[in-house]
Amino acid sequence: MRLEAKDLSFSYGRMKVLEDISFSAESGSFTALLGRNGSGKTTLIRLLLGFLSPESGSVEIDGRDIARMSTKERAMAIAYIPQQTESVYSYTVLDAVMMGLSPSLSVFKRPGRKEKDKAMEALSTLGIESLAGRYVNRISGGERQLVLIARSIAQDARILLLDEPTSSLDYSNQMLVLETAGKLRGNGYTIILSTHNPEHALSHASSIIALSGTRLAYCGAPEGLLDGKVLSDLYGRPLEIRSIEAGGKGRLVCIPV
Amino acid sequence: MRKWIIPALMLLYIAVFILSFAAGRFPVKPSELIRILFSRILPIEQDWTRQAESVVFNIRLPRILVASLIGAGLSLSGLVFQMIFRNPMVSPDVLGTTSGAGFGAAIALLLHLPSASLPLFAFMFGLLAVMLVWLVGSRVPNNQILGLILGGIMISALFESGTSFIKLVADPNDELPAITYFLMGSLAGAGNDELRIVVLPMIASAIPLFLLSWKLNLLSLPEEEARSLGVNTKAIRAIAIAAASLMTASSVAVAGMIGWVGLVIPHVTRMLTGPDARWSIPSSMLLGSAFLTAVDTVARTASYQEIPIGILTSFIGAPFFLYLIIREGRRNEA
Repeated sequence: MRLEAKDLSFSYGRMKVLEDISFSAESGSFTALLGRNGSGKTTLIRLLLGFLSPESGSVEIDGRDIARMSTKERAMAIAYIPQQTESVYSYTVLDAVMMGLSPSLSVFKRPGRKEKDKAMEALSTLGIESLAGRYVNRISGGERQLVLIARSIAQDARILLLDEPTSSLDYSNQMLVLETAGKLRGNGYTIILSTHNPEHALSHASSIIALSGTRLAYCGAPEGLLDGKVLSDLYGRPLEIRSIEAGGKGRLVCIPV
Repeated sequence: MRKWIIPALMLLYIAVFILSFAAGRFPVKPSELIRILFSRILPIEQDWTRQAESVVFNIRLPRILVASLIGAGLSLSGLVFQMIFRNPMVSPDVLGTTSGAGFGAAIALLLHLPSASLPLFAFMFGLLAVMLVWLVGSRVPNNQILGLILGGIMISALFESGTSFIKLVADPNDELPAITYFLMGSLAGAGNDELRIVVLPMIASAIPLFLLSWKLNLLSLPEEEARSLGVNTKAIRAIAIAAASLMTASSVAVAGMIGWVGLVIPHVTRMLTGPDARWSIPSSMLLGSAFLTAVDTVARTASYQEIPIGILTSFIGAPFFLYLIIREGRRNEA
């Protein structure tokens, strides 16, 4: 599915947060969203999910304005993977993943065998079916993030929006989450992921969006950032981007100088 | 293991039900009770006194059923509030329902209105309190949940002062004791009339909650997550609040203020079943019924004079709740 933002603007009261943001993300693409704290990343994600209505402009999924879609229709198209949060009540992993099937169940319907099988299938896509019976509050942060991704697979939405999914994870779990997102991109999902770490964007994304001030500072392939200027300006300190050979593949890395 | 809990709680409730008949100034033996109850539907030869039959059908059965319904209703409304506000520390009192309903009842008693209007006043003011809390809560920007809870505390305080004012102007010889005693919470007067008042609102509120039980689970997720999963959070929350408030208000209408049940029973239930509402809703109702019936049995038999049940539930509930919190804290540290 194709997600497109068209001239999005938004303000909180009199404070402009976003101005004229336009970009699009296709099936099988991995878009990384970069920006400093307070640059409007979270606001942009909330606009893309339809939680906020833009002041002007629109968000379209396959050409349809999401403002004209019901909550349920949106849920069938876009899944949201929040920053890791501790939930108040601890459900089992299987129950948590089954919640992803909510958009396809009518309001009074409870999940049955079919839904359980689908949830197990989603868990096994990520190779974590052994977690099914564990409680969500009793597994590691990385596993919990994978459970949220499994929930969005069960949800059957083809666009996945991940809001800083790696922010509170240790290094190996950060890699695990990014590689999982990369795999799903390979399966034709549209991945949009916000992150504070430019390395993640450079090494995993197929396209990068950088927010600075209220506007787009960059929108395009990671290679376009090679001169280091955009990211240096974005983070307010000199950075060099190098292309290196590692693990048999060309990689971009970001080095503070 | 989870699937055994509901049958086990049913057995517990049946045991409490039978024991409650056996306790009191006119004990009815279990074997006799069962024959008397079934004599209405099966041809069983009468070998009991008419007095026994009258005690069963006119005194004890309605009272036990009222206690069961109120116990189930308060527990269920507490459970639902705790889920939809994502806060295990809230209870039916949080939305001001209890104090609103208490205020309504106090007005009815002060004005010597006909007895049928007391439950009506309790309902009306209970629901009025919820609507006011809603109005206040929705004005708090960005955090609707916090707004509702703060609104609840404020509106409760207002209605409680209102009740205090009514007590101040009430005739200290008859009105004041009637109001005070009513608000203490008691099932002493619970008979067939009271049963008729509570049975419909309780059932009418429980049905939508049962039907929505799985979606209620999603409401216990952070708001935006629930919405991203296609849940119409506003509509479901509104239905749940209306149903839970109706249950609380109808309970106050017939039995005054019975505290702590709606806070403690949902906690114990979640320890047994986990948070999934498909299990915790029926379990909390059974456990609440068994608990309140048992406490009411103690209230009417422990001493020569009846002890108001609200006092007993507080005596039991408050320390038990403290124990739960400490236990929970220890478990999280481990």
